[in-house]
Amino acid sequence: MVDVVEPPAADPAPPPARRGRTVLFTALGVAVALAVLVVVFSQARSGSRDTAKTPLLDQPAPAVRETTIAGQPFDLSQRKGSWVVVNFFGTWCPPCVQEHPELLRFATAQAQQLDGAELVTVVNNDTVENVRDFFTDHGGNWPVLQDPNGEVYVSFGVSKVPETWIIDPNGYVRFRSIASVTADGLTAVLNRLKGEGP
Amino acid sequence: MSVLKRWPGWLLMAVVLAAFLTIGATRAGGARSNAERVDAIAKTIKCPICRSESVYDSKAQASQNIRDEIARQVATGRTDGEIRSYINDRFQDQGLLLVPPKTGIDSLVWVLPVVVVVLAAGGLAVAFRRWRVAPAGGVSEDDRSLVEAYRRGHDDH
Repeated sequence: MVDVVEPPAADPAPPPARRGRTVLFTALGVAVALAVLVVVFSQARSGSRDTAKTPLLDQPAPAVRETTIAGQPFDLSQRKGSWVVVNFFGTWCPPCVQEHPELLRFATAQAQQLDGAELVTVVNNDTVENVRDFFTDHGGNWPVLQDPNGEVYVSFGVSKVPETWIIDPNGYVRFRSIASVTADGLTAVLNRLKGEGP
Repeated sequence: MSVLKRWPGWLLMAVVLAAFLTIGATRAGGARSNAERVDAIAKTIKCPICRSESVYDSKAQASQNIRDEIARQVATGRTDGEIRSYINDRFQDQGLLLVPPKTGIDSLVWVLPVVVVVLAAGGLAVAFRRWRVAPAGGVSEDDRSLVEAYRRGHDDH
């Protein structure tokens, strides 16, 4: 005698109306999730302006009061009214040396404009002699600041060079690059920022 | 009665534990020199360009800059928390704090483990107590009513 086991009765299929509602709600959920992702990503892109991350973005720039290698005092707050490009540099750093001709081109082009940006270089962990010799050999007559104790570096959160920042005429940070820049790239960013207004 | 006798011991242990925890969490560590404070803060901040090294241990220039900044701020009278917060803020994109702050949402990192331990200890205490109160093999009310119903059934015959 063999026991015949009846297979369990299959669950009855949900009525078509209920199935349709489930599909509709699932599709709506996916659509809303996609829309949220699109909005978040598009805003992150437009808000970042291709700048590197920094909590100082759109905030007042840290104080920069140092002495140039020529022995002149420099105070960033005295430069309000002009766009200022701050470059963090070291003569021992190959990407910085490679970037220098681009900064020269940029500075020369900006000097010919009425509202051209001012360039300033900040040096840490380098000797005054090395820096002076470098600028004599490679050119560049903009202010070069010595930051021997790294006060300016820490206040901007800079740990590696080269870095380039753009400060607007109101003294607010508008851009940070943590890689080498080119004259064309820097000019494009600056023009875009000028279009957005200070 | 024996439970009551054990209570003072448990109570004493709880008071001693609470006292040690309070002292450990709030002690100022006595007067410290500025150099000791600089070192202590530097040990809690990660070198921004190294792996698993504090700015205290690291020889990198970026770490030296941060140590100098800590020393400057200690000299101006800022608190340890303010200095750590400043450094963390400036290097926010890199997350330099090796020890989470004890304020705000970050304080949960400190509070939650204590809460979990206390809850777990409480849960264990309740579980042990239940095991003692209801030993295995005891007669439950359900058992008694079952037997009673069986007896009544037999008495009827």
